[in-house]
Amino acid sequence: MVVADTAQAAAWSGSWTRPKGEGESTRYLFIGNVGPSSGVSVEELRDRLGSLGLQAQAEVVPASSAGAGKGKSSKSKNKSKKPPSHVFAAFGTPEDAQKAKGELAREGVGGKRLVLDYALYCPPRASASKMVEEEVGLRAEDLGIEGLLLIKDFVTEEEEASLLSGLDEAGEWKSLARRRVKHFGFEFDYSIRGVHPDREIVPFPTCVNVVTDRISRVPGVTNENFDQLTVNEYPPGVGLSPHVDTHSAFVNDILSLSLGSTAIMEFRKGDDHRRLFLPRRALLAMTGESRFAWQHYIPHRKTDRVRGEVFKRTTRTSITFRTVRREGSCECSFPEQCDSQGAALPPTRMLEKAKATAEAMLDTARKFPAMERDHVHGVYDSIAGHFSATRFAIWPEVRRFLDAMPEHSIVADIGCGNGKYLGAAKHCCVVGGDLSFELVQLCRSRGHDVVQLDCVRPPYRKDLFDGVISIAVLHHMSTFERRLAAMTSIVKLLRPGGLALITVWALEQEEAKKVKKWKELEHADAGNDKGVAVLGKDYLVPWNVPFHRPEAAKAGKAESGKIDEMKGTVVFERFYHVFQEGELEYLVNYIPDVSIVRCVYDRSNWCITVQRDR
Amino acid sequence: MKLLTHNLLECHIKGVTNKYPFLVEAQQVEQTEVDFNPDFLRRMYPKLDWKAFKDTAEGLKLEGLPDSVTEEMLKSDEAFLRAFHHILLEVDVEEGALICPETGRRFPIVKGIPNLLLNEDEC
Repeated sequence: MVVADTAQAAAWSGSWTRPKGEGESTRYLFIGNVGPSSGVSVEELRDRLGSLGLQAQAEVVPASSAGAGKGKSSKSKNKSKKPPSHVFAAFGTPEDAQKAKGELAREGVGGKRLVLDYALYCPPRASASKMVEEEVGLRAEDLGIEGLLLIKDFVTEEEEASLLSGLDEAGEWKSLARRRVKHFGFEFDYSIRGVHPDREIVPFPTCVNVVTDRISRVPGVTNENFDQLTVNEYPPGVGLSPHVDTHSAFVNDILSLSLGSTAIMEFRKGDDHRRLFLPRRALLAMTGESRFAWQHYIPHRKTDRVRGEVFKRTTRTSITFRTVRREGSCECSFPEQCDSQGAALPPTRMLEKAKATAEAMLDTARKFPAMERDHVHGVYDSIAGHFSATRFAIWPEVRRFLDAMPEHSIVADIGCGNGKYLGAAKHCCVVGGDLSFELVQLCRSRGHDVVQLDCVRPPYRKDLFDGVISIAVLHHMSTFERRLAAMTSIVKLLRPGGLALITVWALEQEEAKKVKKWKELEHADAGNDKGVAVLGKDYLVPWNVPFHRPEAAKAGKAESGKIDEMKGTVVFERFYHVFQEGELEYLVNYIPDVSIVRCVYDRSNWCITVQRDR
Repeated sequence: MKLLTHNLLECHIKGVTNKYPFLVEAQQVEQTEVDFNPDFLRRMYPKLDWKAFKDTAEGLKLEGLPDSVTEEMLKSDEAFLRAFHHILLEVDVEEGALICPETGRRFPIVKGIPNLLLNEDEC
């Protein structure tokens, strides 16, 4: 589809100026007093020019579509409300221009006088303009990139329409910065540039069956099945940033079907750029080198120019099929682009920003807030004995983690409480500590070698531990900075490849009636200027010590304990920041050199396993 | 506090660069019996900072550790492994202090537990 008006405009997208020399003649004219407000229409002018007997037909260029004359940029021109009252005319030769200037100056058009002057036209500079003609391949073979395949008319127009309506109805749109997306099979996590293989979501909608049946027969495609589907909806003008789909996250080939609009996709490897025109309803298959070694992207622009034709972009929907890597790592022959083989993923803007924020926040995080002093540290020292009597079960997620540690691993338990996990892995050497002196004394009395520590600044050697566990600790940190600092410290204790398990109370509690007894606080991060999301909730959670317990007698003296005569208990309020789904991942996103291995919900807790990358 | 734990600790005061190892000041040292497990020692050896371990032991007047350890010793030198086991796992500092090698800050050890909490100006 050629958009003629746009094509013409695009042909004159440079800028107009006056010639430098006085009276210098050119083949262009500035013609003032033409337009709706001045009485002479463009059509009348065209007719008059046509009657002059010029050697070649002159072209009239409206000022609104040409780069504005008289030194104004086209942008500022667009903002002015008054329609332009001048045009430019391009002639075949300077002689034609000179003749036309003379005739028009003498007689005007329809008895109306015109303002006439020579003009100069400066074509757009190649680097500055997005409309410059670039070499664009129409077939994948034109690009000469191994493994790239473009199949035109992969679906019919009817199928395209039913896919678009079917996909609109299925699942939920999620908004990104400039486009919206839907995921099926597995959710693509933009912070890790991959998926969580243990977390399957809604299956593919049935409307894509017509495509999935066909893609399995595309020559050269080696994926056994496709289990991750991303639907991207690009408004006109929105593109896609350069990237290689993460090798460690997806195996083999990536397939993408364009619906609703054309686009130009560019491929980049080093300084080498190559362009491919993607028609509507065409399937792009990236296999081999094209998938593993070339970045692909779509420039952010509203119009594409392909071999003299102009394609205006409308809303484009792409559906991308990928296969999640369930095990093992990528062994492609492009190690420079392979994160499985040690290549660093190029930083995304999101990650860069997160790291800078985190760096600035860590310094302020270490002060021990009054909230934690009164409602965490103080409380645990008061209730240690009673608390410990209720804490003996080994949680399945922790059991699973510890059992998977290789024999004789060194594991640190940061915030070890009564030490129930210190002896839970006989094949490992587990050391640990807690903030509460009463609790570490309990550990000691059970024969564990422990220290008193603050998990935001643990006093252990860095880069050494095979494993770290921090069970039900992070939710006692009262600010985002403290939680981030604690998690960062935990990661720093790990050797490269070491694993950490962190569990926290979930906002999504299984027993709603339990939550009713909690006192919700104003979120400590509410209205923060740190630029971080306000996630989860802050609560004071009561701990009841019955009068008959020895701790109750001691507690009567403690400031934090309140007597509840009705229940016959001393009540302590513990601070909890409960984590919502996705919040642990959000936190990890701020920490460099760490990957998420697993994140699960287990009995009102979120449990995340992370691995130190290097 | 056992010397295994000591070997894994470092001073965490903000800005300190000479942070390892903590000097040990011992007022009371206990002995606890631990099952002898040479495999554990063999696996733990590469994780330990041997010089820090040996120097700390000597500071506590515990002799019998060599300057360097050979594979042969780890494999079959029973006398060496017994000494290694005893000093690493059976010696327990009950009362005393850990001292930061750079600042001299004293972290007290009370009832066998080092208090490694920092003051606000040290964070």
